[in-house]
Amino acid sequence: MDLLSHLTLGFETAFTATNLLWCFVGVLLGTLVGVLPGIGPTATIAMLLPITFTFAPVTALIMLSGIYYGAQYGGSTTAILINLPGESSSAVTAIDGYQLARKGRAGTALATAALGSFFAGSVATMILAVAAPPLAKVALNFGAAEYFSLLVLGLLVSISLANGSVLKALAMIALGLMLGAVGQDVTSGTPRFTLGFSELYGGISFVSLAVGMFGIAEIFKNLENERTREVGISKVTGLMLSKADFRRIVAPVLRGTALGSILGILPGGGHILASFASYSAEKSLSKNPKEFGHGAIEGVAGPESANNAAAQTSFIPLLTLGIPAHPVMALILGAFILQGITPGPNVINDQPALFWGIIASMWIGNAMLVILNLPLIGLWVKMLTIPYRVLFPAIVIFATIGCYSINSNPLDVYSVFVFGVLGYVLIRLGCEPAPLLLGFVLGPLLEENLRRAMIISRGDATVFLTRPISATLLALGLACVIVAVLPSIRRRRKEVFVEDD
Amino acid sequence: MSDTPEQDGATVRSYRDITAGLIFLALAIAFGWESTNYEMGRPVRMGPGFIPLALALMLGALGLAVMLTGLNKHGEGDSGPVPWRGIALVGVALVLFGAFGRELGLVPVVFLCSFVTALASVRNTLSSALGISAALAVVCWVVFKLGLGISLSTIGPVFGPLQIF
Repeated sequence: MDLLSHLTLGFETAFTATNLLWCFVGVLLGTLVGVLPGIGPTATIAMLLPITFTFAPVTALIMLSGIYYGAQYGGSTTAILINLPGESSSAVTAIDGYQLARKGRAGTALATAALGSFFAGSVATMILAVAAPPLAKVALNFGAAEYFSLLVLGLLVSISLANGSVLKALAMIALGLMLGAVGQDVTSGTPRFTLGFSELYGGISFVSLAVGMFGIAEIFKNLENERTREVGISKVTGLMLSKADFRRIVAPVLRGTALGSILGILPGGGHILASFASYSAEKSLSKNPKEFGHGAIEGVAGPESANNAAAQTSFIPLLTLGIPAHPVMALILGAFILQGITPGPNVINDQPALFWGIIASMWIGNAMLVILNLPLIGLWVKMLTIPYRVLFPAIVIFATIGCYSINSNPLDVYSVFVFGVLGYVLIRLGCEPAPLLLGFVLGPLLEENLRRAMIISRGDATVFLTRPISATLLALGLACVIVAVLPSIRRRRKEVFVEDD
Repeated sequence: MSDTPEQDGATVRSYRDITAGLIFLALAIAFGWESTNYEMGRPVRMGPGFIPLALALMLGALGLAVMLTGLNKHGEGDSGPVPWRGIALVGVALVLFGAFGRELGLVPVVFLCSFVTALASVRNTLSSALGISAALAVVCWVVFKLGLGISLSTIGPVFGPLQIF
């Protein structure tokens, strides 16, 4: 069977000492940043991007992916133990998980979260392995017009990522596209917006922008009011699930996995939506919904499975179409580009070892995460006692060294500060940086495909509407905007994004 | 985050929206102005200036719209005070790193910059900042020099005979 031979290739790639090591480092770091509130996977991956520059492509991507799904595990630990979600997707877990912990059943909640996540992660990875190749085949038939429309769709969908005003999100996309246009024009070679700096000919440094907007800006925000964290529970016991508990969580885990896998594919923060959807599903299906909010184990099992499944399947649009579903995926796209690979439908055929190696590493990583998260839970609880005043200088200095080491160029370090301040100002004014980053990454691709499509159609702009696939994609994009503007959904989104990172 | 009760009804405008709109508008004008210096081309064969100008117009329109929504909306609660000290000190640290990193070398520049950065938190005292920066200098040396073999020298040329390659 094709799939089997592909997976064999994947495991052969993933099971080398180097790749295993970096997969472990990735999930370890992921758990760490998931546990620590105030620093998320987006900032971490942005910081580590330059370091992975020296790795082989497959190793770099295995590690970066590990950080992302590892953070989903770590986030639930903080949510359960101190009622403070380390990750936005764990916000729901905190509702019932923390109540369980207060009743002295923290061990049960943590075990449920870890096992549910492991099951969901493994199944969703399988879905990724099965669904990606046919999707990529479809995408291979796309011409410039279809690609342009697909990119527009990806950008418009990212509005649902943004917390708050649709207009602001659209403006952030436009600003991102604008910043993406800085540098030499591909066709004519004319330097644009370089202000005389020859360093800008290659465009604005993606790493500096991401580190500034997601790392430094976040630090400025946290410095507004410095709080101390309180860890109520220092010892966790009872990590074994009883038979009765086990029976109670089977169905929620299965439902959560299914929901998460589907919602994860949709671009736009699918993992956050997935955990909320799963929680409300479990609540309405439960025989005693009153227990929810007071320590229902189903309220931990379902959402945790859902967000982990979604974290895995959100790789599908990136690996098959080359379109990132959310900022973390945009960063992983950046990692591909740094390594000289254009992500998209060709990756599966041109770089099978890379593609299947990443997928295989996800199983290995998920297994590592269960081991990391259950027996070593005491270690993570200790981590929570590291004060922020120690943490943030480390973040700043790692990020700076990382940015500097790509080109040994001081301008890259200065631009971190510029984007940090810009990001902070915009966040303070209620503009989320996620759409900007997506716009910045997709901008050059968008321009290239638009210009190519116009040349092919001899300047006829209706080509985007007369080609059926392209027209469908654009219609979907328009639908996203309309849906995001509808008042009822606006209210929903407000609830969903209460604790965004 | 914070939903403060309406103050004085509709007379309070959302300064957040107005400021955001103004920033978008200003950036759009700056980029738009600059893009008129590039060749426009025609739709069939667009020049380097075509798409930037189109984007600038789009951004300008959106900025204007954001500003207008701010004019007839209730004011929103203010978030915490701006951490001026933090922003300034992080900025100083980054500029120091960029300007003197090569001359100072990895360990001294990490020590210096983390010291400055640590002071950005009001909770750090001089001695705790010194402790943090000493620890970070060691960690960074192990991770970046021993582990990843970064091209920055451990102790830079400025230290003359003390320099280690």
